[in-house]
This record gives sequence, C-alpha cells and structure tokens, in this order.
Amino acid sequence: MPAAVWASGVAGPVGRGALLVGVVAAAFGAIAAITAARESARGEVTRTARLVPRFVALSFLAALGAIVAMEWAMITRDFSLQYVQDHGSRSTPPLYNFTAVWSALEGSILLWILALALSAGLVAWRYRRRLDDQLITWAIAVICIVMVFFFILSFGPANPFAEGAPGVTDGPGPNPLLQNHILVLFHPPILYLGYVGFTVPFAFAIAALITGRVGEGWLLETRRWTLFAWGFLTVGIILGGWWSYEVLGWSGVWAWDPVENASLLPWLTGTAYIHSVLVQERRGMLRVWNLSLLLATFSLTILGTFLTRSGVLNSVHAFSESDIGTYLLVFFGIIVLVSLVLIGWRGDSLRSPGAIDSPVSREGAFLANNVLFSIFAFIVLLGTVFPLIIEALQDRQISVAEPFFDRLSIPIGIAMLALMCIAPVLPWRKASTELLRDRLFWPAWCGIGALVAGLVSGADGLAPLLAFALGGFSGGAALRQVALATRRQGWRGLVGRANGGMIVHVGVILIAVALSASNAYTRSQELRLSVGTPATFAGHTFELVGFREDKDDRSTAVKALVAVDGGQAYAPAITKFLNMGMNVGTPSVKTTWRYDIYLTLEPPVKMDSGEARIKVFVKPLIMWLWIGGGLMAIGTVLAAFPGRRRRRPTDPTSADVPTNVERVVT
Amino acid sequence: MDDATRRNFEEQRDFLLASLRDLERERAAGDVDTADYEALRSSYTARAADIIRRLEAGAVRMDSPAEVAVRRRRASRRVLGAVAVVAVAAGLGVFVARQSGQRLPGETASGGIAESTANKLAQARQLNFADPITAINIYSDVLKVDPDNVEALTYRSWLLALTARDAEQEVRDAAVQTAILGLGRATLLDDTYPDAHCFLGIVSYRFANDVATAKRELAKCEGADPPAQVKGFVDAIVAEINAAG
Repeated sequence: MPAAVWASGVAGPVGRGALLVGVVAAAFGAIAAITAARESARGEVTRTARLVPRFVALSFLAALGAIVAMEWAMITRDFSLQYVQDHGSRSTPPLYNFTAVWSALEGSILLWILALALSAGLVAWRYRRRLDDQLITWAIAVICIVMVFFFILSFGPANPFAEGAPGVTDGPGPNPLLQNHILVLFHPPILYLGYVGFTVPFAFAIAALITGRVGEGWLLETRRWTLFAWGFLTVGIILGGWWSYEVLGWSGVWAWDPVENASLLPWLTGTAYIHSVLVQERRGMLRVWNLSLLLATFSLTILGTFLTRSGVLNSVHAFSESDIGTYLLVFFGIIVLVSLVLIGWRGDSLRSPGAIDSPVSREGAFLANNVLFSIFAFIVLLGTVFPLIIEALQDRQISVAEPFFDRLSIPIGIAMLALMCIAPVLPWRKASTELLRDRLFWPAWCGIGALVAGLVSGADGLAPLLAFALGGFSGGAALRQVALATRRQGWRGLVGRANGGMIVHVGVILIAVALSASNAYTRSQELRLSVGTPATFAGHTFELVGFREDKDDRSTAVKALVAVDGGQAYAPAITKFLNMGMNVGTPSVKTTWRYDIYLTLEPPVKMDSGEARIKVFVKPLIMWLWIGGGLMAIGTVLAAFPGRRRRRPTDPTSADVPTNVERVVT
Repeated sequence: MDDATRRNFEEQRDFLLASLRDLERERAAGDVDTADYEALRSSYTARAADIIRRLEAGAVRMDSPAEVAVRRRRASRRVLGAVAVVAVAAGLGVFVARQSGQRLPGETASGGIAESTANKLAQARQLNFADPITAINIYSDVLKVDPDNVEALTYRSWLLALTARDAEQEVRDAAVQTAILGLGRATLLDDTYPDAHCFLGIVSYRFANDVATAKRELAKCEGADPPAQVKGFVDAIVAEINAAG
C-alpha cells in the first residue's frame, strides 16, 4: 500500500484503538491479578493467575502500538492530527521529527505509558513461575492500576490522537529548544525510565503492606528494580544538566527550575532509600521509614508530573500546558491516602525488633544520611511549591530564586561530603576510636593533599576549600574500600552493591568538587570584538575571524567565528527558527580537562559591521562533572550485577566472600 | 499471651539471636574491638534471655523500673524530635518567604537561569508601561554589565522622564535633565537607532520646551523608520509642533 494512503489519517484511529485496548487490557490485568491473589490467600489453586501475563503483554503491545502510530503520524506528516499540527513541521529534520513525539505533553504521556508497560511486562515475565504468590500478584495488580490511570489520561484529556482542524498542511514544528541538540533523543526517555521504574518497588511495597509480609523479603525482590530506576533517574538528570549547558547558553548546568526540582525530589528520597534499605536488610530496622521513603519517591514522581505538566508553574521545560492537572492531583492524593492507610493498618507488624547500638556505626551513618537527604528534599519541595501556595492563597505571582536553594544546599552538600568521609569505613553496630584512627589515616591524608593542591592552585573561599578537602578525604575513603575489596577478591571487588556503591561515591565526589570549583571560580565578561583585533580576558585571547550564515528551510543561523588563543575558531551562533520567529542562541565550548571556555553570541548581530558582542565564560573543572556522571552510571551497573558469588546481607563489612554455593543468596 | 504479643516477642528473640551470630563474625573480621564486643554481647544475651523467659512463661511480665525509664526516655526523645521537625520546618518557611520575590514576565516559579542581556531587555520591554519602576531597574541592571547598551539607555531615560511627570518640580527637572543626557548619549552611540531620536524629540518638546532640538530629533526619528508603536507618539507630537507654527 503506498505511503500516501497510510499518511492520510490512519494513525489517528489506530492510535485511539490502541489506547482503548490498553485501558481494557490493563483493567482486566488488574482484576485478574487481584482475583488470583485472593484465590491464593484462600489456599485455592489459582487458574486466573495465568491470565495476568497475557493481559500485561496485551497492555504492552497496546502501548507500543500507540507510540508507533504516533511516530508514523509524525514521520508521514499526518496533519489530520492536532498534535502533529501543533508540533510537526515539513521542515523539521528526521531526528527531531522522531523526537517530536515526546516534545509536548500528550506525546510525553505516551512515552511514559510505554515505559510503564515495559516495566509491567518485565515484572510479569520475571515472576511468571511465581504467580501463585500473593506478593507478586498484588504487585502486578498495583502496576496495572497505575497503567489504567495513564492509559485513561492519554485516551481522554491528554489524547495525542485528537483530530485537528481540516485543511492544515504544515505546522510550526517542536519548540526550537527541542530541535537544537541530539540529547533530546536520550534525556527524556532515560529520565522517564527512572521515574516509571520506581513504580515497581512502589507496587511491591504496597503488595507487602496488603499481604502483611512486611519483613525483608520484598526488599530483596525489588533491590535491582530500585537500583535500575535510580540509575536511570541519575543518568537522566545528568544528561539534563549537560543539555542545559550545551543548549541554553547561560553556561550553567542546574538552575533550580521547577522541572529540574521535580526530577531531583524523587532522586533525593530514592537515594535515601537505597542507603537505609541496607539497614533493614542487615538489621531489620527502619521498616516504616523505608516504606515511607519508597512511597514518597513514587508519590513525588506523580507530584512532579503534576507540577510540570499541568501548567501551574512556569518553567523553561514547560513546553506545553493542559488541563490534566486535576487528574494528576487526584491520583497523587489517592496514592498518599492509600499509602498512609496501609502503613497505619500494618503499624504493629512494622515495629522494628531492635535499636541502633551506637551513633558511630554504619547504621548510625545511614540514619544521618537519611536525615540530610530528607531535609534536602523538604527544602527543594518547599522552594518549588511555595509560589504555588502563595498564588492559591493570595493571588500573587512570586518566584523563589536561586539564592534560597544555594544557601541551603551548600551546607547540606558539605555535610554529605563529610559523612561520605567516615561512613564507608564504619562497621555495623559500633566503631571504636582505634578502628576509626586506623581506617581513616590514609583518607585523611588524601583530604589534606586535596586542600594543599587547591591552595597552591590559587583557590580561596571557605565553601570551595572545604569541598576540596572533604572531596579528597571522602574520595580516599571510597578508594580505600575499593582497593581492599579488589585486593581480596580481584576484579570481583569492583562489583556488588557495596563496591559498586563506592564507585558511585567517587562519581558524586567528582561532581561536588567540579560544581564547587565552577560556581566559585567562573569568570565571565562580555567582549566587543572587531574582525582582526584580538581581545584578552582571563589570560586567553579572543579574535573575531568573521561570520558565517547557514540557511535552510527551517532556520537561519548566524555564527561568529572566534579564534581562541590563536588556535581553532569556535562558532557561537544565533539561530532564527522561521516557523516560530524565535531566536535561539547556541554556545560554542572549548573543553579541556582543567577548564572550559564557553562562548555565546549576544544579539543584535550586524554581520556587515565587522563587530560582534561575545560573552565569554571561563569555567574550571567542568569536564569532571561529566566524568563524575559517567562513574555514577558505571557504579550503578556494577552494583546491580554482583556476579555469582554474592555477599550475604548479614555478612560483616570486611568479611571474605563465601565460596560455597549454599551461602549464596539471590 | 495473645498472638500479636507472641509474634512480637518471637521476632525480637530471632533478631537478638541473629545479632549474636553476626557479632561473632564481625569480631572475627576485626570490625568490632574487644571492649565493644563484650558490651554488645552482654546486652544482646541479657535481652534475649529476658524475651525467652517471657515466651516460656507464656505471659507478659511487669516491666522493670529500668525498662519503664527507657520507655519514658524514648517518649521524651520522640516529643523532642517532633518539636525539632516543626521548628526546622517553620524556620525554613520563614526563610523561603524572605527569599521570594515578585515573579517577572518570563521568569520561572523557582530558580531560573542567569538571564542574558537579551532576555533581560525582553523582560523590561514587557514592563515598560505596566510597571515602569521595575523596568527601569532591569534596564539599570543591563547597563551595569553593558554601559553602552543603546536600548537600555534609551528606554531607561524615556521611562525616567515619564515617571517623573507627577513629581515635584525639582525632582522632575533633575529627571528630565538625566533623561536628555541619556538619550543624547544613546544617539551618539548609535545614530541609526530610531527610538533614541524619537524619545529625545518628545522629551525635549514636552518636558524641556526645546522646540529646535525636538524638530531636529523627530525628523531624524521619522527618517530612521521607527517602530509602529513609537511612530504613533511621534506623529502626534510633530502635528502639534507644526500646528503651533
């Protein structure tokens, strides 16, 4: 069949049909799972259970069908759909046309559904032989219920397959900021995998509360799911920072924008959880706390979606607004209510049998870590929703600017670094002074070395110097653990939760130090450059070599060619997107391992004048931000794949790994 | 003893016995020194023995005074913890209220990127008539970074003259003088920028009674193809000057 025939409005009915099938399949999946769980509870041989994976598979196929239909509509420029009219264009290049599917609200909900259905499918497949276990069937039921909500959202108020006005033959294309960098292909899907991934541990937590099996069993089931969700969220956030740096032209990576905060909130509570869950696995403590953290993490992903997709807050990421806010708010309310009721119901069985013996112990450090992460999450939440509360109560539009977040996050960050110096070397239960003196000797020297190196290279200011010293100290502590583990176990000393976690710590430390340095020591100035007349700033020379104009159907880009230090010419640009009449600046960056030189072209640009206004930022250690992010991703993978010989959760922190198969716990 | 109490005791017993086993391994691995090991072992053993005795007796014994004291201490700690949480939350609430400010057009509800000159000018432009004082402040911010920014210089001068209209004579004269100097500097920096000529003409005629400068600048303004919005003002003033002869 010719493509033209397919292009003439087939995607709409196919997509709507797929969404309807998805709603029905997910609803039946939930019903079947609940029925199977109840049959198991009565001790009956459940026949309904075998239907569950089929309905889940059908939901996944429906989600896949819907997104394929949307891609098809976008690729074939099917302007019979409102979404394509609003976000498609004949002049959009193929890559950005492909990513345009998730460039606005309706399409991004489709992507969310696909990730959710994929998670549901993986859970159903992983536990296909344990469908007579109530914990599993209740967990699948919860995931299916979440899927029903999102399918209904997409089928109703956020329908990407709604018909558009007749006769439209072209559109404006996606927001220019979403067709300016290849990261648009990776950042949103990875971030969504992180958000959605937390649905699985959330579902198991709810299932544990419903079945009353609130011991440590469900934690072991969800360990890897949680780690992967956290890993994807981490990578998604870091890619977002990279995108901001490469596209927005302000030379920063984090702006405390509402959408950034919405992704940070579940990351903070999720990070607290993956630390404190170790205390429960090892010592059976913090049961209510761990459940609360996990439930809060999932709730915050929904709250974040409400904040950023309902149009209640303005943000550089708020590419579209809609009326789905009420649905999301009600769903968020239901999640919180159900969670609280279930925790209250199981209150007695959630009591921990023991208590922390000493604050100077590994469990004490995890508790302190949780306090810091919780305070941090509260600060970010308060700063993000405060304008919303004031607007609701006083009808006044206010903004909570960067200083609020900076002033509070810097001391918390310093405290976290300090904790990372000591926590890795602490044993469970209690640490003696002699033990600490012995284990902290070399890490402390690393800290002193980092401080001296900072002072010698001209660093000043209390906060950055503290960050360098603590960064060295905590880096030394993490590397000491890795060195000990690899000495004992060879390459296996790099894998497993504790060892992979230390690699993640090294990544976090690099990011903390790089952020401190770039925030404290960035120098910037706006230079008026004339062709052939070099200017000097911060020890570097900048010479305007000329201009270049690149034109295509979509845009006109004016580039100023600036030679840096007499070498390669960099080309900061201003691109005018013709369909939207919007000017978008594109920075050009010279990257070295010590510093970045970041150039932006400032408007107005008069090419015939032979002059350009170039804003120059010299930013130290930026490359180490991305290296730190990469290490965090690698560490997460290492932590998730412990290999065949695994440490038991109850083994001492410095014990040898068992070699006999009987001791393996999976 | 009811089932729930029994389960609770059994769980505590299992936990303490597991802790004793783990403690031995941790000592063997060198994680716990002798003094700590002895203290922890005695504590776990005593607690486990007590729980086992209660389980075997099948009834809950009356709590010892020491246990009652521990429970009281825990309750006090819980209250103190709750007070600390409320105090921290209240403190942060006050701090966020102090740190917040009016949201300008184009600004995000929280945080926000360090604005470029172009964004600041766009923001100020939107506020020219709705909130001229804020617009003047934004133009001043731009001029701090880029003292030769013609647009900021022109519009700050223009708004200064407009907002001073209702002020006392002395203040108004000073504002008009500053505005004329600023607009004059803008025309020197970029003679092709029509807005500066237009506003200099209007201010000279309306606020300084300088008809000659007004005629000269308004002619330059019309010759430089001013924006439609500004042209409306200019046409009215030119007509008025012509009518006055």
